[in-house]
Amino acid sequence: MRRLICAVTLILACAQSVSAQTAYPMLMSLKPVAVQVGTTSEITVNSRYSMHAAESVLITGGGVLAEVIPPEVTKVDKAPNVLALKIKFVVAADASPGVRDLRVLTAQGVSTVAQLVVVEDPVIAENPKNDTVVEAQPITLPATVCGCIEKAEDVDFYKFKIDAPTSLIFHVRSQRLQDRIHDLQAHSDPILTIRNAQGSTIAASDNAFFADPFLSHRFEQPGEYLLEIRDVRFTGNQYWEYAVEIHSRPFVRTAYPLAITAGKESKLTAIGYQLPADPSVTLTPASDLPLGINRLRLPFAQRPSNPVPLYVTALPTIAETTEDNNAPEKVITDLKSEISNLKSQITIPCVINGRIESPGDIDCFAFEAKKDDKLSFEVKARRLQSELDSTIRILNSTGATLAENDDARFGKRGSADSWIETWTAPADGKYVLEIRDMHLRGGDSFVYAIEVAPARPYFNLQADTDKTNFSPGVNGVMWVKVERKNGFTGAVQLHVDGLPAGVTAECGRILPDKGTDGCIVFKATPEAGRAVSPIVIRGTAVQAQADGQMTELSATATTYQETYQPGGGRGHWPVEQHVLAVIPAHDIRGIKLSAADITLKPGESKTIDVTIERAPDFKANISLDVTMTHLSLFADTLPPGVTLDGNKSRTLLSNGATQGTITLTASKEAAPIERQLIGLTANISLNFVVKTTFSAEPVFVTVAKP
Amino acid sequence: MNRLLLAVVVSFVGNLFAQPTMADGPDGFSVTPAEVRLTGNLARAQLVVTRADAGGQVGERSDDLTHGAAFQSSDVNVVSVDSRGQVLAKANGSAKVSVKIGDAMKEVTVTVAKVEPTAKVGFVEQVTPILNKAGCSMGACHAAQYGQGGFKLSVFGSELDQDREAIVRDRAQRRLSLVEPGESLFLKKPTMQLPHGGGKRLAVNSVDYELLKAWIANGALAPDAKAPLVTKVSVFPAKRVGVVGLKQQLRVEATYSDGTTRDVTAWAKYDSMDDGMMSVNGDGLVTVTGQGQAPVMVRFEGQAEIALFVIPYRDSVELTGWQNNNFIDELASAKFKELGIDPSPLCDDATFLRRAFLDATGSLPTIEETTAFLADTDANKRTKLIDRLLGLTGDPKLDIYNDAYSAWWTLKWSDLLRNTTAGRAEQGMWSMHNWLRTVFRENSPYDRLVRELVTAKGSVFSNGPANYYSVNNNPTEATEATVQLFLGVRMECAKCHHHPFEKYTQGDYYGFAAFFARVSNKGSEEFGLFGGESVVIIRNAGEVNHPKTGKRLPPTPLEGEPIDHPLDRRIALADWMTSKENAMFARSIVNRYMGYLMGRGLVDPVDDMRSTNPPSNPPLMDALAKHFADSGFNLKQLMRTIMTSRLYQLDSQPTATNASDHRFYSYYRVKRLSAESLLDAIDRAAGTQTKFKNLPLGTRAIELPDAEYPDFFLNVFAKPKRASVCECERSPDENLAQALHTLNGDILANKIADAKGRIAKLLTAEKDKPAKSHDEIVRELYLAALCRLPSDAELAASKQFLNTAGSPKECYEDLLWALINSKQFLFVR
Repeated sequence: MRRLICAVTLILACAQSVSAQTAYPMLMSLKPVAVQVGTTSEITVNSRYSMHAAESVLITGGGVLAEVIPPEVTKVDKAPNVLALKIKFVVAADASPGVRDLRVLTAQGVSTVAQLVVVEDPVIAENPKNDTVVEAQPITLPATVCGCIEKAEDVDFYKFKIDAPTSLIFHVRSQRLQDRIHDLQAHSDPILTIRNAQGSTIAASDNAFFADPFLSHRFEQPGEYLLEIRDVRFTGNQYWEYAVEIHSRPFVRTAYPLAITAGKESKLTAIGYQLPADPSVTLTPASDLPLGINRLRLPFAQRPSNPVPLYVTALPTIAETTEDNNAPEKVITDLKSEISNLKSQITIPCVINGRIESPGDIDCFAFEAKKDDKLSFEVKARRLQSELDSTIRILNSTGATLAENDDARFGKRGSADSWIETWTAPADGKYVLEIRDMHLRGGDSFVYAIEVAPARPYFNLQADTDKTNFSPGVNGVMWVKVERKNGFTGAVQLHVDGLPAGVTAECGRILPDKGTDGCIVFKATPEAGRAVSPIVIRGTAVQAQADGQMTELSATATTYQETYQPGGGRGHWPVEQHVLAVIPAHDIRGIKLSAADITLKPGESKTIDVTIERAPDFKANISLDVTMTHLSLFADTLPPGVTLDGNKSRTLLSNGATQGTITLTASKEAAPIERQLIGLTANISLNFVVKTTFSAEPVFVTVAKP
Repeated sequence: MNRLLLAVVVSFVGNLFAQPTMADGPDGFSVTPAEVRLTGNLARAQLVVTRADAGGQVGERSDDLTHGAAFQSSDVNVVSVDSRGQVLAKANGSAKVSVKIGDAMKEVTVTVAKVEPTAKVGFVEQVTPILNKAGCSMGACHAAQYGQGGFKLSVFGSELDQDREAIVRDRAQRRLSLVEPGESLFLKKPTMQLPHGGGKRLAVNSVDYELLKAWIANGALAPDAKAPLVTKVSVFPAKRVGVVGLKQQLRVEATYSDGTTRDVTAWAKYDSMDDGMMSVNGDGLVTVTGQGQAPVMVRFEGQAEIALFVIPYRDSVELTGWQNNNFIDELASAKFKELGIDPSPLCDDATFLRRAFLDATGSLPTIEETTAFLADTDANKRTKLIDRLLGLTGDPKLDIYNDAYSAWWTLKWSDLLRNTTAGRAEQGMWSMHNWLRTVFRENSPYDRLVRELVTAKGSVFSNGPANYYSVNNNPTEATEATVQLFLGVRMECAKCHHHPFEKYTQGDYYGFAAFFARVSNKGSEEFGLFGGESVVIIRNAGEVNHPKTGKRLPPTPLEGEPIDHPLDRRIALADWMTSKENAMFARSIVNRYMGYLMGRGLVDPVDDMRSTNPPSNPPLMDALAKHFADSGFNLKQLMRTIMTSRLYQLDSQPTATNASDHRFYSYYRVKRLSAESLLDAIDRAAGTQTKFKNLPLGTRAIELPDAEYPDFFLNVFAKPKRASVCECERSPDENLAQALHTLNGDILANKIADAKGRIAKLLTAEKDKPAKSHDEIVRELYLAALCRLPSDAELAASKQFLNTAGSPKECYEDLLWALINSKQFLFVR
């Protein structure tokens, strides 16, 4: 018996370590997609690529614990292909409702992201046979109905009873849960319809929160009603899960003012549906709240609201104080008067809290600037669920337009919020900042916050991608891109916070001036075990200011998950965390280099011999690289003028080959650089877009002086 | 005896040609104008002689005596007059022209001024009108794309300088002889002194000939930029009521931009708008040959007007049994009396039921609804049915047709708004579709619907109306669509030249287009990673210039002054369009709905409303428009008003006395079911469902959101591709392919024979229930298909057929086939 157990264990262990073209799991859906606070429930995670040997589940935010329910082992001689995995969730009663990022850690690596919805009401899973009115699934309210628009022409019907006149919220989440799914090349666009007992439509919603519907409806007549949900195009997909929260509580869309100060009491007015008669609340946000967008629950008397995005700032806030500011001339009425006497004057820096109260409303704010002052004007509205699609202008005192902006780009994604990033005052004088809705709409929910600040040099960082899986003996690498702002030219030194024990990181730098990319190479010692942890990537730099002073700058990287675009391109979507995972060695067990510290003279080439230790039965192609390339170039940490000589390098190792070469050539114009960290990688294609990347030890390239 | 007979014959024949006699009373006739002023060489004017009543008054029923009158000038050296009553200036001075009818005589003072020894002939004032009158500048002649014979003129003289150059300078100036004007090709060809492909257009020594000759003699001067332009034409008489055989001389007066007026009868162009009823010659003499009501269109130098002719079918009608349900009936009956038309009686209940269901919801009633309605003895049941169909009862248990109503009218408006996936993302099409469904379900006011479309902006995925500018994605398309859809005006012609039948110029066209000059779009990522929707926005700049003058044109509504808005010009346009004071707006939509419900608009085509295409019943048009505007532009109330009228409920069978009426609704105009409605009706009758691509089974044809579906039936029955905003894109005409399809096609045959269809179910005995008898089956088939019970004769015939059929199944399938192929099924009647 003991021999049998040992044999089984050994076989299992072998099953875990012997693999070919191993891929980390790519999560596709959760079924049901929601869990209720204060309950324990089971959810099935569906994936592409196996989740066998799943060990744990990582969830952002607090109050939600999850554990893998191991599937039955049916065959011991072969690694099972686990594409559906049950997970048990225990959700604390005080867990904050909302959407969380979720990953599964397996022996193949930590997965891509799926999104879980934490809700306050009982979760009702869809009965698969609810596709006709006759088969409508009875539900009891309040509830969160979770289902799937699983195929073309699928229409899901539910029926519920109203005993007395009441107002109900129907809040659908579906499309919004799909942007972080790595390989879902078409997204849902649900439409919700409510019918009375006679089958007549009484309300419908298509796109309220982007593609997701939302209804607040007053039911005056008791009786039975039908809820119908489908894709607006009558298409479907097995991964198009949805959650419809149905309840009679208040729903807060946004609040005014939008910008608040950490640790400081703020009086807010909730804006939304089915609100209390007095929708105002007093909120004192925690003093340790991070700056930026935070989702906070408003303290209504009966119970806290749903989380509402608010902007936490350290800058002084100014509230729009007058209605009579809807034309430039109204805020600069007397050029000779002191600006401090004007009603809609602002001092810089500040965050203006305002609202476009009615259709066609325009808000103007006056400010003073000196010649060559550089200022930034950033609207935060749409990103905080305001209905505003802003457009802003800077006008001079005669009303001429000096600068304007409609939509801005933040990192890799565009937004309907506006941003004049760097405006230079042409002369000393008074100017006007004007904001309105691009479509001349207005109303309670058209709130905004405008951050007005000096446009000093700074930088942003983007981490590509969102996870690094590596093993003892084979390193991992991640790439970081810099976005230089307002003339920032410095070098950026990268840092990592939150490394688990047994894991070290060689943090590279992003070269100054035109340098765009840097990398970090992770190494795990055997003592690291099966470490897994979210990490924070930071960058620091020193920038010379105009007055000659040196200022220290820092930034935390935004993490982007790679996504598979329709047709095969590689896209990005921001996620909450970058996760490191130390996993058992699989396809590539080691990468040995003949040299890891290379010095090149301008015009010189040098070759690094690369020896790959493959897993015994792993014969698939391996491509060597010193950049991050998936059909196109995404990151290049080589010093300027240094390139990979494709003709002299042997980068494609096919049919089980283990020997390759990397030849680097410095051009004759290459400038001197000391020890620039580059990522030398061995890559295995998983599909048209995605690769598994293994890194060699850190390689440093120096370009000597001529 | 023979002499007596001869005397009688002579007297009779003499009376046939007798001069018109004076009416009793002091005068007997009047002459229009009472006084004439002729200015310039060869100026002309037309006298119109009208019989007066005993009180000396003339009116629309007064006979025209012009061509029976005798005219004589007191001084032919000053002014001459011909037998048609046309006076011609000869020399400065004053003379009297006598007009004699029988023994009665009147005199008209004619004053002539500014006759010069050398005639001053202006290119704008005289030459161009002569060329237009002669037809030289028609699109079929010298205004063709490449002209004729190398001689190119602009259409209707829209390019004066260009025309003058063509006449005077082109081809080495070969067309004119300034030294011997009479030898000019320009004169010899149209007078056929030389071969001319266009035939004889001028007579030598005619007034027009002499004017052209004088112009050449004076050096063929260029157009005077300051010459006054025609701003209006008026026609006398504006309306005539008479009998077949009536003759009427028209007189046309033009008003110019400098305030002057001029008789242009000789130069105006005349067109009968109903050749079967009357003809009109080039001198403006109308001859009526049939009964009815139709206008003569009169055009001069870009302006147009009508003279309306009403020839009653009978002298008087009693309208026995007629009751006015509302103002529609009052005004319709007034027209019946005016025209002497006796309307058909009311239709029966079964006919009304089917008609109302189809017109309001595009759907047939169920058998249960049919039997309940037919059995109902409530005197107000028709009105109550209309209220239920339109969802106006307020009781959710009765307002159960709202979804069908909204689907049906969404289909109609999707055709008009060209909502299709062709060249656009599917979600945009769905967005507009679902918006329309909501609009009609909630009965949004029509002015709001139009305002939302015209001022639409935002995401095409989230905001249905924004797709209006995906479809009409440039100013000219937006212009043509907007004016045709919401004002009933066809402006396409004015894009390139002055509108031939209306007063709209290119300036009007492009001035309207200026409202849309700043419409643009931007991309958006709001629908996430793969969203890819576009957003309609308004830019800060963008103008439209006149294509010929290059002048920037401010945004200007039709027949109005420029208007604007600091942020979005379309807001000003929407304000103007939807104003209660804008008669065009309300008239356009009520006309459409009259067309949809009554089979023909008061103006036909429904989207070709112009002064030269007047409504068949102007007071009814005005009253409906006012009623609609006063109701808050409530479409359901408009439909209710029309459907509750007696007029709407008349039988579709014309009587012997009104069979020739095609315009005045004396009987209900039969119309073929639309493709979608017909397919649904066939499915209802046969107990089947049609599966449409990418839509779940159970989706009805009237619910189809897109333009094209690979469905043979819908294509044969002319489901439109939504390529045009014209109502005419959905052809109501029947054709052979459709007939063959229903007679011989597989689709119908398969539906009738469907193993789960109605006949199969009727022949299958239900558990614990006796099998249906022959009579029950036949009744059900008639109720399902025709919404009525079979008559005794029909029932008897069906029994005979059963006896001769191969099997009951074959009998009933054949019977259902026959019912579906009957006119009673295929048409709304």
